[in-house]
Amino acid sequence: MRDKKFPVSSGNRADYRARTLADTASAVGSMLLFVLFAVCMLLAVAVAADTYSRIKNGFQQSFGAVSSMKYISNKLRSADNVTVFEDGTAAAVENGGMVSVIYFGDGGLYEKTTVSGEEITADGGDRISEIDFMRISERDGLYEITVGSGGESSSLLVRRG
Amino acid sequence: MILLRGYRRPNNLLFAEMIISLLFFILSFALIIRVFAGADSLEREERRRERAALCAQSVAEAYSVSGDLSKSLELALGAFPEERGGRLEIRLDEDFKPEDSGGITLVLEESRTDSGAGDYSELEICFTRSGGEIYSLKCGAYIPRTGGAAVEQ
Repeated sequence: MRDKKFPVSSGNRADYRARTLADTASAVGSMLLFVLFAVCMLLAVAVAADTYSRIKNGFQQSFGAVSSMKYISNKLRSADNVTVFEDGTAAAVENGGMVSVIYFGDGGLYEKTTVSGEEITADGGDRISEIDFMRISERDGLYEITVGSGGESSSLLVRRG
Repeated sequence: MILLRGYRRPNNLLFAEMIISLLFFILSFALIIRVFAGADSLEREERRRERAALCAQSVAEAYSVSGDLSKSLELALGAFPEERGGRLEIRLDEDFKPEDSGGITLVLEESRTDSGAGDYSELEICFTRSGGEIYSLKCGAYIPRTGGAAVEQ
């Protein structure tokens, strides 16, 4: 076949070799472009995934901490009487004959509502949000609510009474 | 090139197609990166604004208790800046902690009106960064001679 298509002569042989080299170079170039295309595509996906993940985590952390602090601060503001537990991880909020115990436990903020006068314990409540820690303290006529989420902590002051 | 003319043309076409695809991809890639960078920037800005809002709320609450600019900053941020004619300025870092070389500026401006039994005070809390406003809060407080009571706006 080869002999028929390219008769063996010194001119044709050189021509054939040059064509073969050009074909190989073209195929390799195309393959390299394809590899470059694939690498760039992977890079784009990796960058996009990383950014999306960072945005999602940031939003979740921020939302968890801020919503928890606002929830607690609204509860404290509307309360007739507030009792902060000694270790600062819980507070009993009395309002209209009902007592809501807001406490931190098991990686989240919990709330339990009981009738005023009953024994108050910080367990068996409903989960409000996911946080790393929560602390409520009293100083200079203010409540200080500190909530940690995703390795960051935020504080909020709320006027007492 | 002369040798390639008229011979195995599909390879050349494939090559050209790949280059066009790559160019298209580069344009799309630039666009995607720009969109994600914008989203990231917006998210950071939003988090900064949320922290500024919490910080402003703390300052307002502390001001409602103390009725004093310096004292309210001391309670809210643990800072001891000097008040000058009802205006107070302090630099904060990205975590909203007092830092002299911080990029965020907190400005408190107070205006008082004597009402006989006490002062009616208006406080403007403004956070800025690189000349742009992050968050601002205006609050009013009636401060009796003996203490403070405030209504936030």
